[in-house]
Amino acid sequence: MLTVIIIMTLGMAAGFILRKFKRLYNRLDKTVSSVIYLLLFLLGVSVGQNKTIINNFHLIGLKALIITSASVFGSLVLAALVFRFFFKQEQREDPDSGDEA
Amino acid sequence: MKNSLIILAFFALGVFLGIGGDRGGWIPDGTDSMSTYVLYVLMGLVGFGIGGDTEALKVLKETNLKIMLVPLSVVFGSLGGAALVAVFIQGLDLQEVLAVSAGFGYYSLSSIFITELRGELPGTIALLANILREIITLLMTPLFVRWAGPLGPIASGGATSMDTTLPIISLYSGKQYVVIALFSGMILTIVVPFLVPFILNY
Repeated sequence: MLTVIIIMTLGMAAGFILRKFKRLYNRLDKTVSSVIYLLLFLLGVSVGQNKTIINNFHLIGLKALIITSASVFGSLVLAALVFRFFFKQEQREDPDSGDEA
Repeated sequence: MKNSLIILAFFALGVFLGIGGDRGGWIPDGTDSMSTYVLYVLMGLVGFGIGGDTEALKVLKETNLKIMLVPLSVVFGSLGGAALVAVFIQGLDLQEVLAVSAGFGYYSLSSIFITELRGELPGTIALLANILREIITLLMTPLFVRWAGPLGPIASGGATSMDTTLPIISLYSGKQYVVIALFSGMILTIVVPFLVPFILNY
């Protein structure tokens, strides 16, 4: 896994050095998307060959939903606290913020 | 949303080929190692994109320290929430549940990392869980703003708040929160490939 992080860091350095060459970035998002599609396709093939996963697919979806709901809930609670104690004051001073009524 | 549907379609196509291909024996043995090399290519490209994004660098320069609280609340809120329900998740240990949660909606990357480190079962759960995070944010943003304030959907969107969920955040939280959403999404996107392996190796 260290290899991946090193490659990503090298990519970031290369991107920073070459950031003036806008043409390199024209199709980058599309290329990244295509590579992601390929990877997820390959992951799908491995999953399809895995009998444990195939036979328990409904349970897997339920587990995913529970983990995500809990993560979103925890994030929302902390975000509400951060807003209340660190961001709200600024809002009140802002004359444009009369949209709460 | 469109992008995550395409991803799901590719994944599903792979699953069906995998199920059917077993009988014919026509799927090459090297598929697993091939995905490792494709992952290397992807990570290089992702890094290249982040490093070369002048807009991203500008956002980082313009912000004050307080803005760090937003991605931090996503990290600690997600991991804390996941830790609370970990006992109900059979078949995954605490580390795996936390790693799934630490994808912060960045489904493509986190699922691949978890698959590499722990196998396809937790990897698949990570894929579905993180796609769900994006879909839940897209569907429930108006409610999240009402319950948790304008930072709510930014936190819920996690890493996706810089791209796929940004338009809806801008619409319901307000344009003045776009920079915060971009910043938070960017930090989380950078954090995922470091945090997921860290949690699993700890």
